[in-house]
Amino acid sequence: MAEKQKGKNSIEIISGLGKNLYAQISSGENPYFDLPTRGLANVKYSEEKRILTMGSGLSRRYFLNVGHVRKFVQTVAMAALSKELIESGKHTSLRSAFYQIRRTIPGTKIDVVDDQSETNKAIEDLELITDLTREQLHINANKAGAVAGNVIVEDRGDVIDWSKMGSGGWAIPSNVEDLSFKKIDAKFVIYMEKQTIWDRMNEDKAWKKLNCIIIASQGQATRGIRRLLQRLSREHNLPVYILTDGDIWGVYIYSTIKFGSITLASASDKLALPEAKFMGLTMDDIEKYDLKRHLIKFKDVDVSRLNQIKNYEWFKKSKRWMEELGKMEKLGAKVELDAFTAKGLSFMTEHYLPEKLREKDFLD
Amino acid sequence: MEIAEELAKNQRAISVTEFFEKNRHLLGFDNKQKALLTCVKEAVDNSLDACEELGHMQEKRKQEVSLPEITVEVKPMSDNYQIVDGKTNVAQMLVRKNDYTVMYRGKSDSKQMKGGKVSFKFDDAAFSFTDNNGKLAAMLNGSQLTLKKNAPTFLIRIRDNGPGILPSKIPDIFGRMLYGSKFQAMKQGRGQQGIGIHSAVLYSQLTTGKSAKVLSKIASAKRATMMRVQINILKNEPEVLEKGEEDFPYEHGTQIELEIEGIYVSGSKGIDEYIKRTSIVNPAATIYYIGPDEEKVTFKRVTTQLPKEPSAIKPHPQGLEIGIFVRILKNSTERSLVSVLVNELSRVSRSVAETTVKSVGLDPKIKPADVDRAQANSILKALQSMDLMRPQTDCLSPIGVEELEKRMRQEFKPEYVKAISRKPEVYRGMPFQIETAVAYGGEIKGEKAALLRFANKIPLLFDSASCALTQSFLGVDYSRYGMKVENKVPTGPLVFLVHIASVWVPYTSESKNAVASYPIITKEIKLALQELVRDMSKFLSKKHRSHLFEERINLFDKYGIELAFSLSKLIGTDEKTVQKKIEALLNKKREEVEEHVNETLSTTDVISSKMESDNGNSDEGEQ
Repeated sequence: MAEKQKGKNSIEIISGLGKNLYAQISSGENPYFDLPTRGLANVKYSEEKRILTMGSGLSRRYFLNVGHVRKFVQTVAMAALSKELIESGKHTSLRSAFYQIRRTIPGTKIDVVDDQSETNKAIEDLELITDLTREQLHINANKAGAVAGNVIVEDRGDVIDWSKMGSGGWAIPSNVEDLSFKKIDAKFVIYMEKQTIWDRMNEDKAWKKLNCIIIASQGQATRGIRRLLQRLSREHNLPVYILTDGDIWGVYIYSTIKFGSITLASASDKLALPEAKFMGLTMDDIEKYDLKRHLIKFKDVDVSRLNQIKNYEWFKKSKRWMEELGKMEKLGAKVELDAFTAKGLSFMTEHYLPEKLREKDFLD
Repeated sequence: MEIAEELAKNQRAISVTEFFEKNRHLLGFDNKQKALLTCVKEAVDNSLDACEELGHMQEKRKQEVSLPEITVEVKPMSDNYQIVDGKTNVAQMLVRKNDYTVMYRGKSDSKQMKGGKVSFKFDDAAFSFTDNNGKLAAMLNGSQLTLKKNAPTFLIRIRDNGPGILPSKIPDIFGRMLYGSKFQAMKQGRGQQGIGIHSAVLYSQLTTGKSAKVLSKIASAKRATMMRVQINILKNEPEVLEKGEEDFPYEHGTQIELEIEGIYVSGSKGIDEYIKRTSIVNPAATIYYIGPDEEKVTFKRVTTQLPKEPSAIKPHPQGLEIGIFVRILKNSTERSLVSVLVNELSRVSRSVAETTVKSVGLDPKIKPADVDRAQANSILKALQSMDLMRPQTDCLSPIGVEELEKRMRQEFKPEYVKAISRKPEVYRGMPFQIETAVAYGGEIKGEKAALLRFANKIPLLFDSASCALTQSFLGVDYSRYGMKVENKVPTGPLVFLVHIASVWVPYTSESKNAVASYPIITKEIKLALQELVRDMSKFLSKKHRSHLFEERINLFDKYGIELAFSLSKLIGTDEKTVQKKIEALLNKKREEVEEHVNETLSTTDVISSKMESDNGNSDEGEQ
């Protein structure tokens, strides 16, 4: 019942957007809608909540504007698609949404969208305009990543045991709102950015040995994963530890999970996890575990990204993080998690993780 | 006969034909395709010069001016055979229907074929030819010969309405090599190019054995004088084979007819193109052209104003060659060396002349004839090191900006035309002036710019790569003006024209197809072209702008279709209803939208913004 009700609200909000535009057109007004400005300039760091929030900056998008017209029409097309999906109770993926909107405007040489990045942006815009999440708009991100642990969940009527998912683990859906936890036997969660490391740890049955849940993404954590981490932390009081490569890109993955992302600052409440802690790979680890042989020199992009992140307000507030970034800059090189395998395939499970946990050696 | 006399005769005979043979390439007869063009060119140049001279005389006498009217005909005539015995060339034969002409050891004879047979008799040689159903066979003194087909022959006929030639002068003008050479005159003229119409006459004689037929009428005569002229190659003297009277279509004028061996080509190096280009730079002339296809093409004059008459100037020491200086000294009627320098050279004052003569240790009163070559050389060197005034430059006769534009417009029917004339400049003591023009779009086809080169109103069709005109053209960075460039050549439907007018055009070689690269000449051409393309890019940018404008205005109509579709689904209303509302909105907002599009264009239009910065720092920095 609750699901139905939510659906109805979404439809009202979405068709309200359309009705508003139609009214503007009918009264001979250049139709427009407002949406919060995206980007660093309109992002605020809330010290109280320790998350990124969207500023009050609004931009107005007009139909009769050379620079806006294409995006304007794409957003309306996406709204129409989303409305149909909600009405019919179906969901579609980002990729499929692109294909459903991709068409040539009759009598012209213009395609409504040329590239999936355009529909992705249109969906983000629609989320910002309507204040609905993409899940509420019935558009799912692709399922991604893997999870394993002594946990049993129920997902749309199916019962799933995370300890019996074999070598591949359970793929995390983009929408984890409707997931209910039947049983949890774990003391904490380790999230890692690398599938290869997760495979290694799953084979080592690290989750059993350390009594934890292991979750991996491929690169940047998806919204489904972030929401899952948040729910495990908030609803079941599990500490969340983050394991990334020892480089600036890993630091930003941590930043997104902990504080929220710049582009999706509006959704920080639902996605950010300020309690998350950074486990590694730290600059001190390189020294301590003698990983110097595995250093990879910085390229220009690494340096410029480091300089950007050093200037983010939420890092500047942390003395320890500024020290860490300083060390990284001084080193001028990065090291990947996979370097540990050179010390023995299971070095991570048997030595690194237990020591980290024992010493509570986390960056916050 | 005295042996020496006998030898002398041979020597002379050798000198005329050998001169021609040795200098074929210099004279423009190095291949049969070029030879055909050269003959036409010589005659047309003569005609244009004569017509203009007449017009200028009429202007001076306040008479009605007759404007140049020239007819050029090129007609294929005969098949041309080489008669070969084994590997030796025995004779040559021309066949036109039933008319057979045989050339044998410098003699020629013509006969008609009767009953499939014709025979010729020269001193010791008896030729007989048979035509067996189109299959030709040849016999010499009873033995079989082979026939090899050569390039065919053409009749070329060039007629003008110039002043006409006095009958007594006709033989010398057409039948004596190197007669009446104009190369000493320091005056802009087509003639500087010409090696003379007589070489065309000689070429005709050597390739087809035919004499030149000249018709010429002077205003006071009732009918035109007709003469068949050929060159006696032994004596280098004209021979009049036939003389008579004929009617002539103009009150005065000249017509020449030659039959020559040649290869006719169309395209950029052919006669058609030469005539077309000639017409472009002679805006006061009407030219009729009847090519091998027998179609008459008319290039009508666009102005009734003759170009300004070029005036002769005295040589300026900067450009004076020692040989010519020595000749001036020898021929001068002045009493002293100093007066020669003052009166027969340009821009030499009495005090400069005296200082110079003293500086090389000569007596200022020395008689010019007593100055030897070495002394002349040091005087010339000394003069050239003096800081002399530049020669006067009003002696040139440019085509004119307006005339060029009119002609380009008429010829290419473009969307845009612009011509520019630079002020006269001086290289090595020689005044010259650069004119350029460009035509864009319209009926011009092609993806790359074409360059038409001219020197003293004569089209240059050959040796493009080594020519200063081409090099300067390629030396301009067109991309700075928002144009797309491929291998230094701007792309697009473009025709550029560069003309150099000078009292003495510095050709790279005797073939006179390419202009030498003097820095000042190159610079002048580049500046002219830069000015030209700067102006054109403003036009292009405007055009581009209005194109973009249309495109962007339409953008809203196009996206409106999609908006109607999506919005109707979103609000559950009929698509047509929504579409009508959007159309109404677009109509209502048309003006506002146009203004908005205009504003966005002024900031995004690449070419126009580029133009603005270019105007800020002009190219004159290169000087």
